[in-house]
Amino acid sequence: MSAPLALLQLVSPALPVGAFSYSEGLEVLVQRGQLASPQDVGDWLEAELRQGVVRLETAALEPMQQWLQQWQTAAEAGAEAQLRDLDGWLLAQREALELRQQQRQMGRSLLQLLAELGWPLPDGALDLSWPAAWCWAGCCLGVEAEALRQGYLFSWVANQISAAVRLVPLGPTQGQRLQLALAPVIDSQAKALAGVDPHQLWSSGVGAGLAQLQHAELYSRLFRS
Amino acid sequence: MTDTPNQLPPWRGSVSLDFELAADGTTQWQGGARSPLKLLRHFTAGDGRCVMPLLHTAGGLVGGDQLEIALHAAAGSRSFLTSVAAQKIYGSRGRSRVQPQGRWAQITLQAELEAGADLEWLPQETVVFAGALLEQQQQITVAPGASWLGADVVRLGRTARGEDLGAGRFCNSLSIRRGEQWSVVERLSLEQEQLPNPHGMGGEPVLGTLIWIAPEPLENEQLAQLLKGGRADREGLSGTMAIGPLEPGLIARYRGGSSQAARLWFFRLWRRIRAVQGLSEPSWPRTWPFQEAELALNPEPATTATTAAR
Repeated sequence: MSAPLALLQLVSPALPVGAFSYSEGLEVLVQRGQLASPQDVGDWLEAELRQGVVRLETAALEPMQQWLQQWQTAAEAGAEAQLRDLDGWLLAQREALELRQQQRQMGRSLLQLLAELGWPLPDGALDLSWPAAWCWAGCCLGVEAEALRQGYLFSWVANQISAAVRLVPLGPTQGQRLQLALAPVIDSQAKALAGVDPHQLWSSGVGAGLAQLQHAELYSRLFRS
Repeated sequence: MTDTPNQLPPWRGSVSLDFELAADGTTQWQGGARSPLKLLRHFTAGDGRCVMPLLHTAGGLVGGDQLEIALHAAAGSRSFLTSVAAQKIYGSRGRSRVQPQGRWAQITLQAELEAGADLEWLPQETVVFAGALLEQQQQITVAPGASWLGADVVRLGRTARGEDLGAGRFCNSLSIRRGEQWSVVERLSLEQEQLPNPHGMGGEPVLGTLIWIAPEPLENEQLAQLLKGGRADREGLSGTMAIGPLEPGLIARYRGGSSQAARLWFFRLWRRIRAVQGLSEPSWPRTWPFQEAELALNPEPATTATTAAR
């Protein structure tokens, strides 16, 4: 399969990992009237892309992909341990249990799918969270690092917009307009994060963390995060 | 976001403390402090817990200053540390012709808890003045079976005088490991531009965080009660407050205008965290503003005289 086709398959909403059931705090913000317009949604997503935890995850993709390859070929003895350490370090930045469960569930589902397609991880492991599982998909389908970062951010934005459209403040056309408008940010971040050590990056998403923590308190919920 | 903290130390204060369980059931300490940090006389609470207030005689940090705190808690020890006053971080950017870009103040906390240890770290708030650069590093290692309670309240800019963070920046690098696992990691950086943004501070100057790493997982019913009670504890306090479970433990966040509200909420949570472990109720620390003690447990709205300065 060609690299562009592989990427298309990965970012397709048909990928059965359950991404549609998570809003990552958007549901809280919409219910509280804090995301009232398409502009608000766009500003929120851009802030997360530029200074949120998703940026640290994106920077972590390249080293994780390398460790996965080394683990698979048994080329480097400590590869699995390094991979698992970074996987856990990223997950621990999600303060809300719902977000941790989301990352784990989506990771497991993707690893399960890849195993069924003939690409099991060594020892049949399924216990990696979403960013690491995404990297394993990249290894299996032959997606190189920059495209893997672009795809990761693109699919995160697409899922968030899909949640926002269902939460009402955004029509489907506005959603597409927003995805288009964020493309330059996705591109520039995917380039800028090449070779960057995620441990040296910072996040400023206090509001994002709060909204995600508050989700468990919502009286009526459409989403699982 | 590429500038790294300055390494030249004009003033380096430190505290190093070991806590151990003595044969009489009380917790004893060993260690010492280097100026401008000092230890005040400790006392032993009813349950044998060692209560240790720390004094920062300089009252604040200017760019380049460093404080290092290293704590070790042995199996069975119980300790509680707090500070005598708020920590002030003075403006650094644009103050010196030699270094107009400013210098970083650094506060480092390292804590290691053995299985069965119980350590509570509840310092008073940190006030980051306009133009100040603060890098706080906290590395906590908790053995399964140990209990860590840590809380942190930071005010960005002296908002009572209409000041904001200006060209300052606050960085907090926190990592808590429990056994072989990362439990909580935070790589937080806040500058003025992120303060109005709802994704950042939403226009509020005060950020508070309380983290409890429980010695072992709570039963579902216990956890549900703790969360429910902790949410009810927000009564009468201003600001946005959210709480959720850790595996195992609890994380609580405050974002709002009042460091007093954050402290009061955290004190109420602290009582619940003690209670859920079957430990004695904490008393309002002697070094904290005593006028607030009554408010802590009284859900009536604060009067104007005691409302935190904005």
